[in-house]
Amino acid sequence: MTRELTETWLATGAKEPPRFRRAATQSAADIRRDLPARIDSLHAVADDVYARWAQGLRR
Amino acid sequence: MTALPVGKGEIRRTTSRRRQPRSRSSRSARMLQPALAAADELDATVANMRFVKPLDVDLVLRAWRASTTRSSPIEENVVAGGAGSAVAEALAAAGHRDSACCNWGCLTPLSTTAIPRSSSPSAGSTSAASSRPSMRGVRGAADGPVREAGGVSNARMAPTRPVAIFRFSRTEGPGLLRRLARRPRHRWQLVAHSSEGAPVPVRSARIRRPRDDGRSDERQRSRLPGRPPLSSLLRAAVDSEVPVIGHCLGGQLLAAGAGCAGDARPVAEIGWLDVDVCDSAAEREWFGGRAAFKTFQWHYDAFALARGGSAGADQQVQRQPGIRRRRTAHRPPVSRPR
Repeated sequence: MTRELTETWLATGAKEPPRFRRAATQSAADIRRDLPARIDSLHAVADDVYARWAQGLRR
Repeated sequence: MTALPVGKGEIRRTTSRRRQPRSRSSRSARMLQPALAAADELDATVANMRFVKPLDVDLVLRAWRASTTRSSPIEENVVAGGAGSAVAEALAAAGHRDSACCNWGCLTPLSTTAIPRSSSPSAGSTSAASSRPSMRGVRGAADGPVREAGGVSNARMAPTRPVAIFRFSRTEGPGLLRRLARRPRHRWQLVAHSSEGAPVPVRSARIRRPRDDGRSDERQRSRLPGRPPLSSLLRAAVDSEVPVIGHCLGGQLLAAGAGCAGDARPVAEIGWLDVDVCDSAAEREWFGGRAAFKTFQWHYDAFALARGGSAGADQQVQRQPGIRRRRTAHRPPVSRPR
């Protein structure tokens, strides 16, 4: 997840059919709150998950 | 004059290259300028450690995760017990048991440039000025072939399986998996698919395409945008014990390929949601010791776990702050490899 991708989804999500907007959602403002720090934390999680997954890549 | 925060380093230079292998150097004491000069030539990232005790572990881990080809602590101290050792210890404590091992299953060399052990009978009596590593030495450690640099090199290289990354949308690239492409020992291929209209190059993934065994589960799930060739390919990959990982739609397609039931949720789940790791084994093995974390979700569907699979983390939507509507939790497909 990146800041750019988050903004892309927020922009395209606004155009989605109404049935999809009836949802358990956070507001765009909530999604953007502390975005850099949240993304950094998420990347750290992803690094650990990918590291474990990539163990299988070794022959 | 500005007071320096004790135990905090800084990133002094960031590489501008994104797709090509890059090098990164850390430094201490008077090695900053030589490191910056070398980094200008190499387009490397430079982290100014400032302190060894206390070490800025967050800075070390951040720089390590961002590095792609080589990480070089640079110091005017002896190799043993110096900043390089502190970096290696911090990486080991963070779960990088072998400090030469990168996050991605290949190996990023950690080469310390420092005063060789033989030139310093005792750390406290070293003549640092006369033995200080030069900019040439710094550059060589960061960019040269794997070798002894300042007396230490624990770099090893291991071949890995080729990786095929399937992309389903023009706006969504391989994300953090892009780092994989920067690793010199990883062979990889980005495959455009789905909305981009490209066919699935079965042979590119080096997985033998299975014969039609009558299972048409993916076709019955017309809601899922998985194409039968891709679904079959994924199933063959799992059957062949090829490591697979799916994000978002990719996860759904993997589930379909594994014959898992999927269904549409009456409401979408969108936002930063808390996730609880299911058990201590998953916590230790997959999530770096985290018992919970926050993740970003934007989905409309859910699917069951594959037979024999186990959940790694649970999403508890009910407890999420800022969520307008509540619903029951579901299990995201964090599967474990065989």
